[in-house]
Amino acid sequence: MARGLSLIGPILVFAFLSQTSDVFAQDSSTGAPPSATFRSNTYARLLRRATAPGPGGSIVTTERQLPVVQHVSYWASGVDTVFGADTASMEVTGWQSADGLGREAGETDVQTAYLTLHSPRSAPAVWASLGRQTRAGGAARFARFDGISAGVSPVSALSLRAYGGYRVLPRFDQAPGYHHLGASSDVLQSAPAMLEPLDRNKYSVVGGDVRLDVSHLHAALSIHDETDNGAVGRRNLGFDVAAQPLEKLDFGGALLLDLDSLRWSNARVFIDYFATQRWEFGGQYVRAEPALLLSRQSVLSVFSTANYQEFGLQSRYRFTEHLSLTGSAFAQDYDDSGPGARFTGEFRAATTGRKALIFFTGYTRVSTFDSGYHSARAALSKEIATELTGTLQSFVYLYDVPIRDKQTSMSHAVTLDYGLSDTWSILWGASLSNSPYAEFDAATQMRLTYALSERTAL
Amino acid sequence: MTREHPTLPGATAALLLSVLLAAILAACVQKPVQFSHKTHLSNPSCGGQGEPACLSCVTCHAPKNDGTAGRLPSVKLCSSCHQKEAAKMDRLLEQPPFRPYGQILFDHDAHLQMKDISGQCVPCHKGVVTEGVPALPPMSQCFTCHEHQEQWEKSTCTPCHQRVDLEETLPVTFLRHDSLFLRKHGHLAQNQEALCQSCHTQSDCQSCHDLSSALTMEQQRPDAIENNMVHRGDFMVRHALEARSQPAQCMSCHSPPDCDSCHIEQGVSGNMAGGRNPHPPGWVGGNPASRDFHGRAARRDLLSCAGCHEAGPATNCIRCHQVGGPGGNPHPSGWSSARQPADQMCNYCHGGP
Repeated sequence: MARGLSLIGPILVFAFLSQTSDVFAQDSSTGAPPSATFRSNTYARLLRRATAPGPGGSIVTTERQLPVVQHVSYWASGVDTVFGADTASMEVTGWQSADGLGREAGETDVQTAYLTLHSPRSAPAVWASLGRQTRAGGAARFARFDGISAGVSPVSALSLRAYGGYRVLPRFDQAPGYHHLGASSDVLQSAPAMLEPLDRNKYSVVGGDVRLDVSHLHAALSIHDETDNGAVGRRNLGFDVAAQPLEKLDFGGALLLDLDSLRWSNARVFIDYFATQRWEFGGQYVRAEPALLLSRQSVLSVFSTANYQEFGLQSRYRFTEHLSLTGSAFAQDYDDSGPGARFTGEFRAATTGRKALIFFTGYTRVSTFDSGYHSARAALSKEIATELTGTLQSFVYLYDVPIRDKQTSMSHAVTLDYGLSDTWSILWGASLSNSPYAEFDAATQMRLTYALSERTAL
Repeated sequence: MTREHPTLPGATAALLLSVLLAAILAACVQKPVQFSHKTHLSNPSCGGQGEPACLSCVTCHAPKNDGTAGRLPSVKLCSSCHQKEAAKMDRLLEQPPFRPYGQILFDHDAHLQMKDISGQCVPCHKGVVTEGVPALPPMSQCFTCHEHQEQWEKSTCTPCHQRVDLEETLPVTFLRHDSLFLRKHGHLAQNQEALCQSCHTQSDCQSCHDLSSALTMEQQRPDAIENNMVHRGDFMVRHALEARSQPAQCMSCHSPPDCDSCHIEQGVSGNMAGGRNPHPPGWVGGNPASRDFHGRAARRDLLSCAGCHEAGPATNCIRCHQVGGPGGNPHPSGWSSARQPADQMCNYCHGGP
């Protein structure tokens, strides 16, 4: 029921406001014209047959024949309402699985369902969003909630936002027990329906931020507080800054302070330099205390852990519009374990226009405190014929320390995508891999896409 | 575990094969037909007897008042001079004009009728007669006549840019979605939300960050070989090593129970009947100085521990690490907490009401 309300509520409000707008709306010629996008992706997992290490090391077989997963999304903006021209937008996204072979048949989740109303362009900026939405970056990191968010910008350089509501846990609206995804209580429970339903009132979120935007400087101070089973889950203070003092140079950083332990859980600084049109160059430093990223209701969050630091450089050079070389090298240090490193080099070649071709090849080396791997990758995308595009990818891995007595992995994938019309396309994909995690893993699927965008016309 | 120094026959061979394949493909690719506007527009030998007709822009790009910016001539028109090159003309006209910003919502006819433009194409399309200058005008040129300051400040790219095009277009002049973009996109999401939303919706964030989806990102978009997605199709074979290499990175999206959720589904979790204990002998209760003792491993990779042991007060860590237990004080030096003494979580180890 909650799922239905979260979806239907905003739609009804939106429909009412937009229907009545003809009578009350101001001159719509001053705003952006309305536009809308509808997208549907239907996935049919034709087959997956894998021989994987199973319980106690036994070999199990997985087969899936035509379980269907349906994704839909609808987005509209620039809609006139009683508040004026171009003052509303909305988004609804969700998926449903008719798997039937998984843990639950007919799983559904609403990913976003919100309506945003904002003041007319000519007025001081005020906006509010109602429904299932996300908050990204800053103290929130990434949070989903059912609730309300609102903001005001009294002057163009300054804005304030606040939000609050109930947390959206994975498939919160599913059968009892699903919200215990992965927890021991779920694992050991042979009949999840017998579990006591979660009390959503004990999973809430509230937060806000103040932002400063001047021509080449953006800064934000944010706070985020979420509860976990009625007690503090995460209580963070975040500070983000990004500046572009020169056209070719930008830099910034972010700090995340855990307000419960008063310790820095994450700090990040970056600097990017665009030397020429062909050459870009960047550096980054990260310091994190991973245990502080756990919920405060995790016992492990109070354990002493090694801090983790990473410093690295990344660069790309474009020889021509169609040829480029990308490289990155990062060094890591764990207080208690010694160094680690990552290196990647990748070459890209591409043509444009009809029969376009994109080709990648690359090498990656990762070294951790007790293992690591070398890997090589080759990927190709080619427009084979009109409206028909194919891709090929191959990966080879070589582990420093064998995993389950296996030192190498190989993985190959192929796709064919055909545009049936301006709105319909169909994709077939298949993969084959051999790794420590699957002696043999073959899978194939189809994807049918319908995408309709209501373009504004002159 | 013993760390070995392996050779690289497989990886090297794959790399060499890839380079070879690239060279073959590059050789096979049909080169696009080049078209010189300058040659066609500045031919001095035209208009005379036996000479081709002199051309102007509208000879080929005649206004049609249909609101489309990309008006290409027909093969028939080209063939009136290039009679023996019909196939080449076909290929040329098959190549869609390069539109780095998608289809701009722009009324050519209305602009051509403006007094300052007076039907002239070249003031905006300098590149058709000048070497080294793009044929399409930069956005800054639009701004020389139009006052778009308000849209700029509000980060409104529409209606000139169609949102559906912006979804597929990575702006390169004022927003750099370059190779460095991915690692700082979180900062931008926080600081420049309105700008992000001029092209993206929240579901775009969720396509990667929403862990509840029935399909992983690589299953949803197996053809997106160019995306620098963390979880490409090959992620499974390296996921354990990535978690060790960059533990905080995983935590950007995942909570530790996600690990066990998948392990259970695959039947490889120790948290299920018949599951195997992944730890070596001496992991618990052995010599704390041993390299196989759990304490050192936990300090350097606690999040992997949490993958299975994230069970709140039911975790078996508490048994030894509670006050008075043999595990000792687990808190880091200088540990403090803003929680009240009566906090339930504290009391699991510290006793109390």
